[in-house]
Amino acid sequence: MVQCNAMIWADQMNRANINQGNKTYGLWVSHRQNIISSLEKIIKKPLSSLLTIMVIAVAITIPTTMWQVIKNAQIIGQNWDGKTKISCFLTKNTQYTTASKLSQKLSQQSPIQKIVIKTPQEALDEFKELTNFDEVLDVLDDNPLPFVLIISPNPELNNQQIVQLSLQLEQLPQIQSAIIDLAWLKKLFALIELLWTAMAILMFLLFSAVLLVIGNTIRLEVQNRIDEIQIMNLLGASAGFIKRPFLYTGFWLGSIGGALSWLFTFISLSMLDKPVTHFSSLYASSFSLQYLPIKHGIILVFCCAILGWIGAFISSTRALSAIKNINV
Amino acid sequence: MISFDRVSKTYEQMNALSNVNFLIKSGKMAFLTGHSGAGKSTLLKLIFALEHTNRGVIVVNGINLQQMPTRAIPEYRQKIGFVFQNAKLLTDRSVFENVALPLQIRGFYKNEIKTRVCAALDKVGLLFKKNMNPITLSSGQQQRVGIARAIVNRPDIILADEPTGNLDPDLSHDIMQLFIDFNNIGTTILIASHDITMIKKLQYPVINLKNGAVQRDDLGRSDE
Repeated sequence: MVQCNAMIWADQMNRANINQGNKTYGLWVSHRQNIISSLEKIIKKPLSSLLTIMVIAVAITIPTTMWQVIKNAQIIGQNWDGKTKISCFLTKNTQYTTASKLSQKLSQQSPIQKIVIKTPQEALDEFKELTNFDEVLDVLDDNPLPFVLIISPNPELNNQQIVQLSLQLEQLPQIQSAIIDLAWLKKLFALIELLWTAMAILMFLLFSAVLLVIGNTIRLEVQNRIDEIQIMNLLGASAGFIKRPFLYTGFWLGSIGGALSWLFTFISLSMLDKPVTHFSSLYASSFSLQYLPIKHGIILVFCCAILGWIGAFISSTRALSAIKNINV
Repeated sequence: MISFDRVSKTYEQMNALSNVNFLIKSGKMAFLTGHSGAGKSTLLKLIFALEHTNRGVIVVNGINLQQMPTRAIPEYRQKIGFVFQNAKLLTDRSVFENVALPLQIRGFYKNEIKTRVCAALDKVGLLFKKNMNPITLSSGQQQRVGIARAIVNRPDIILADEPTGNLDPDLSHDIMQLFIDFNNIGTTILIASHDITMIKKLQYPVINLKNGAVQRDDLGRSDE
C-alpha cells in the first residue's frame, strides 16, 4: 500500500515538475489571489476595518469639501468678473447733450458693451440714500456732482484690458477721471488665493494622517499574523510575497476610504446647496453649486488607493525587518 | 549534496560548532545525533541559511552559502524541505491549506496545487483529514502534515529536526519509513535525532556531535 502510494506520489511530482517553468504566470496568480482575498477579509470582518476606513474617509472629506467650496467661490468671482464697470466722471459743467453725444460715440467702440448715463441729480439722490449727509448736502447751493457714464466693458475683456480701456477713456478731454470698480474683486481673488494655500497645508496634514492611520493598521495586522509570516519565511517566501497581502489591504482600505469620502463630500455639498442658491438669488445671480466632477472623484479614489499602498509598504517593510531573523 | 569544510559557529563567545567536516552526497540519507546542546539544531540552521558561519565553507547542491546574497535565500529555501520538531502548522486554516503554502509561495495554479497537495497528503496517509484544522489532529498526525508540507515542493534535500521527538516508538517508525521512501526516490535526507535505539535499527550513516565537534562520522563507510 505504502509502496503504491509512493509510486503515485513520485509520478505526480514528476508530472508537476514539468509544469514548473512558467513563473510569471505564477506571480500574476499570486497577485490576483491577494487582490481578491484581501478585499474578502475586509468585507468579512467589516467592523475591524470600519474604524480605519471612517478615519480615512473623514480625513479626506475635509480637504475635498473645502476644495470644492473654494472652486465654487472662484466661479462666483469669475461670473461677476463680466460685471466689472468703469465709472467715467465727466468734467464739471458738462451739459446733458454733450454727455449724451459722448455716450453715443463711445457705444460704437467694440470694447464697450453698454453705457448708462447717470445725471448729477440721480447721483445725488443715490448718495443721500447711502449716507447720512442729507443735511450737509441741503446746505449746498448747487449740485457738486458731475455727469457719470457707467460703462460696461465687453465681457470678453480680461482685467488688464479693462484697465487699459479706462486709461484710454481718461485721455478724452470730456472725461475728468475713469475709475474701475475692481477692488472688491481683487480682494475676493486674494482671499481665494489665501484659502488655496490654507487648503494645501490642510490637505498635506490630513493626507499624512491617512498615511499614519493605514500604517498603524497594517503594523497591527503584521503583528497579528506574525506566526504565519515566520512560517512563510521558513518555507522560502520572498519579502515581496509576504508583504503582498498587506499592500493590497492598504490599497483597499485607501480606495474604500476614498470612495466614502467622495460620498461624504457629495452629502456635505448638497447640504450647502440650498443656502447657496438662496444667497445667490439675493444677488440676482443664476449661480448653482458645482459638485465634485466624476473625473476628480475617480482621481480622488485613485490617490487614496496609492496612499494606502504607500502607507502599507512603509509600515510592513518596517515591521518585517524587525522580525527578519527568526528562530526555528 | 551537503558539504561542511572546517565550519565553526560561535554565539557570543560560546562555541556552538567547532571545526565540523563532513560530506553527504546527493541522494544519500544520514542521521545527526548528539545530546541536546551538542549543536544539532545549529548545524541544521546553517544548512537552511537561518544562520551564518563564523569560519569555514558550507556548500549545498553546489551553492556556497557564504557567497549567496540575502535576496537569493528564499529561492534557496524553496528547494529544501524542513521538518520542524513541533510541526509549525498554521491553526487558522485547514490541513490542505497548510500543505499548499509552499506551492502558493512558488505561484502554482490551483489545479496543480490540488494535485500535488493530495498526492503529498496521500503519501503521509492523511488525505482523509485534508479539510480538518490541524488543532484537531494528534501530534503524530501533525508531524506527518509537516512532512507533507516539506515534500510537496519535491525538494532536493529534506532536513528534519527531531521529527519523532514527541512520538511513541510505533509512530516514530512509521515516520522514519516515510523518510526512507523519499530517500528511495533520490532525495538527500539529513535527520537530527537523539533516538539512538531507532537509529541503530536503521542501517544509515550517522554524524555524532559532541560539544559542537564531530565525534564520529561513518558517512564514508556507507559510500562503498
